[in-house]
Amino acid sequence: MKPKTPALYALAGLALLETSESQLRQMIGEAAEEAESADEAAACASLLASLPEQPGALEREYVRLFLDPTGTLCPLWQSAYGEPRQLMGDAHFAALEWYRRYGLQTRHGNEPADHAAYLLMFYGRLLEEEADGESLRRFRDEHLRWIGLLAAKIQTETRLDFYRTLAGLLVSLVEADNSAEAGPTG
Amino acid sequence: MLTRRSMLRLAGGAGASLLSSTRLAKAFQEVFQAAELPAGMQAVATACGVCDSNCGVQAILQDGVLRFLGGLPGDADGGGGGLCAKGGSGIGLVYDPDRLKYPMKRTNPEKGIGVDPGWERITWTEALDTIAARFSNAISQYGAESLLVISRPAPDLWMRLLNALGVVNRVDHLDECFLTNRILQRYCTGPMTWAHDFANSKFILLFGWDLLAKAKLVFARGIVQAKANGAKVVCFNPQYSATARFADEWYPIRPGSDLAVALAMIHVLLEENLYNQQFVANYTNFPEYESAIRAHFAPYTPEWAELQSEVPAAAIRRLAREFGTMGPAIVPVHKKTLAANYTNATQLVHAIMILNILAGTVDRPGGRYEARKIDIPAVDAVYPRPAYPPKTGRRVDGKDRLPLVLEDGGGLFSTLADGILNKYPGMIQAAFFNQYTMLGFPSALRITQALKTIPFIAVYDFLPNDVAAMADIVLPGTTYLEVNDLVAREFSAKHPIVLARRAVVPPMFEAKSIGYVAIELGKRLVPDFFKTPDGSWINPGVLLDEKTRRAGIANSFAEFPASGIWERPEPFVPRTTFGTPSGKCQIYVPQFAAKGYDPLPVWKEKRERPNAEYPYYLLTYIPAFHRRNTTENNPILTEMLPVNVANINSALAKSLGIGEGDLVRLRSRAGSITLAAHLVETLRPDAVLVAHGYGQRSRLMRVAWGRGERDSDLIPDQTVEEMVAAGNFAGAAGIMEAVIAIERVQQSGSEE
Repeated sequence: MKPKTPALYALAGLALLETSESQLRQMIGEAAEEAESADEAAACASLLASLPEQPGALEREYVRLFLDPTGTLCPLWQSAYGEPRQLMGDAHFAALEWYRRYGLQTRHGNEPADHAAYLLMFYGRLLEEEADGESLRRFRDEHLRWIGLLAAKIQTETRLDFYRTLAGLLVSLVEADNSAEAGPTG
Repeated sequence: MLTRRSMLRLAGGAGASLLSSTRLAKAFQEVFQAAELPAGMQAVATACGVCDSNCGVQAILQDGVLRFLGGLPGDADGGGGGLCAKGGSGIGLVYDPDRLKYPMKRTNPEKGIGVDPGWERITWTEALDTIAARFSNAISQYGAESLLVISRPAPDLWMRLLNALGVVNRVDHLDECFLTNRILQRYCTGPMTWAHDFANSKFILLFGWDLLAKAKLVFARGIVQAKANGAKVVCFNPQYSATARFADEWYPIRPGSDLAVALAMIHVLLEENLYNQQFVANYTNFPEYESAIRAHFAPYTPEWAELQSEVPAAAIRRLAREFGTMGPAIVPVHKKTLAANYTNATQLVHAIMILNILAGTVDRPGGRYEARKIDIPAVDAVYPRPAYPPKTGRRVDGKDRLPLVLEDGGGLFSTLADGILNKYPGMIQAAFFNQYTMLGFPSALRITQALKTIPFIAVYDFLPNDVAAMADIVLPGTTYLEVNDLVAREFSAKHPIVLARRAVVPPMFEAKSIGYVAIELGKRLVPDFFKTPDGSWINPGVLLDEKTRRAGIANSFAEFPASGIWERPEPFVPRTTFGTPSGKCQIYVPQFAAKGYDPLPVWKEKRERPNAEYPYYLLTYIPAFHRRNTTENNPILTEMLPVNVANINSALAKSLGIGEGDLVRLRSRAGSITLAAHLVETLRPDAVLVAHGYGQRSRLMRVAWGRGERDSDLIPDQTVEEMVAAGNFAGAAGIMEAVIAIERVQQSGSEE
């Protein structure tokens, strides 16, 4: 499978972070205008087309999937998929270590660093900076493979086309990771 | 390989963005910033908050993240440098993926288990504005009686809010568990005489309290130390519990008949004058009421008690003699004293108080004593307030029918559903749940029905419990590891000991403390109560500093000793006057007589007794590794008992054709549950034992959900009329009271 561009990882991360339909529509719209590849443009178009029209629908679905106070269906944090099932686990520390190695840290110290969006965005940045193949492979192994599980959960649980589309994008990113050893083509 | 140039650009600000899209670059910069130096490893002394023992904790952090919780070295009077399984696994509470993260509001007005609430994330401001508006409307239209608050009274800021609003309908689990004990202490030995000096006891008599397998590490350590010092331990319990195995003698008493044994022991002590003559003569009202007391207990012979309890009369007589002669003797009582939660517990706890008085060990070495504490000023002392409005209005739990309960200030869990559904339908217009779940109520089914009738419910919690599924607004709360506070030790303090409970990590996500909620609702609803004398709003950090200073501990909370423990060593001076109405320990309680209650304990059966339809006793217990309704979503603790089972005596099981692992339906007059049978020899053949804390409903907490069944579905709730008629004037909740039928519904391994 063709390697994906850095922007696609950032786009997927953005879609997993933003809870407001209007904000998301504007952000993806802006990203679409600045798309530098056909892949990016197509992904933005698909996501935009699948955004729900009904007011509040995306906001409620986001909460239902990712934050539901009566049980999160699709946890967004890698540690929640480990043993023990607990936030701030080893994956949090491993992610912090990666960020620090590149002079970064997350702004929100009271939230886990292994949020899927953060990991995707960071990987996008690594790709863009043309990190060596070994580093990319290690990051994928350590921090991106579980996102396939997250995507599958979203596919199963969601009631909105938008999140089905996003899950498809996530799957394509993870599969691209698995098949790409040579780094991005941009 | 990244170059130095690209590493710098990765860490750079907006101007260094390399992503093709400025929008995506902006999103990246909203998430990441340039790294600061990591904090590394750190050890912080704090106080556990899983239960009220306040054991010292050493929290180990790595780069600001909790990695390990251990006992605090030097905490000799608390956990002894150790922690129980519940305390040690506290990290699982803070970092539970299911914990509440942001304020939410319901968009679907339909409520019920399994109904999608249509949650929307909202800001704290919107959440607090909504709650304040609903409370304000309820009070203005229906009066303060229309508010129901299920919450502990603490912290003082929270209680100030409730009092300023004129809330009369508040109840919490301490009422469910300790109310009877509190009332009897007030009239028999003095308030707060509930610390236990096990280590210096020579004879420890336990009515159902499985000290070693549950409750408090501080008590478990004490009883082990006592045994090492040569104390005798005697245990009455229908189950061969961990403590029963540890004890010198164990009696599988008929459930609920502990009162008979206690009455008979008092009979022997009086008949043979084996009580502590010096203490009884000087510090009790025995001389004043001696003839009435002797006459009252004369019929309660050991032979009579054997008929009720199945404990041999000769054993009761011998144990009473040993109790009166072996040295400091103690009969502890606690909420986990199984027998003290039956509906005849008002009588039993009174009898236990009398045994301790006759032993002469009230506030004496080896006995029950009042914790020695320093005065940590409450908010009222620091910031005086206007007068509270008078508390008027109807009590939905009916506690106004029980004057001693009303006087205590607590409430009644077990009558709440009846009050909401039958006595005062439509009265409660708004409710606030502060860290409570339906699992804690008798008959969870009935309280669920009751909650459905309340138009507005707000929930503050750190975990998503079953009440959250019924809520209109959900507020994410902090755990004890995310807040600062001063905690005075109460269960083991022969001299004043204060611990600093420290926010060892910042609150996760958008969690905030209940103190913050109190102040913010106070600003909106009763602003005059939340201002300082200079007109500014009360600041909880400044308040805590002032408390620390005024208590004489340090100039500010930050200057609290780094060891985490502050002590004021002083000798333990036994009291010569007691906090009762007469200043003496009261065996005969004239204040009870004046209200038409029994001034001395009389024999009463517990409410639920085996009959043709429900021939077996239900017994419940809380596993040692769980804190009631707090830890059930912890995956590590859950591994120890993934689901609850029906423990059945193997002889009984055989007679019913039940094998190991068969599915059995347990049915009471309140409801039924289905569990796998586990055959044991360690239980009376007329009883079934079920662990409490299982059976979360709906999609609730992801670990706890779908595991086992709720014991409370079998336990009938009460009406206040039943309590009055039963002479249950100190409000025993009966949260473990049920008799059941057993039916096999599926053989193990079959697909019937």
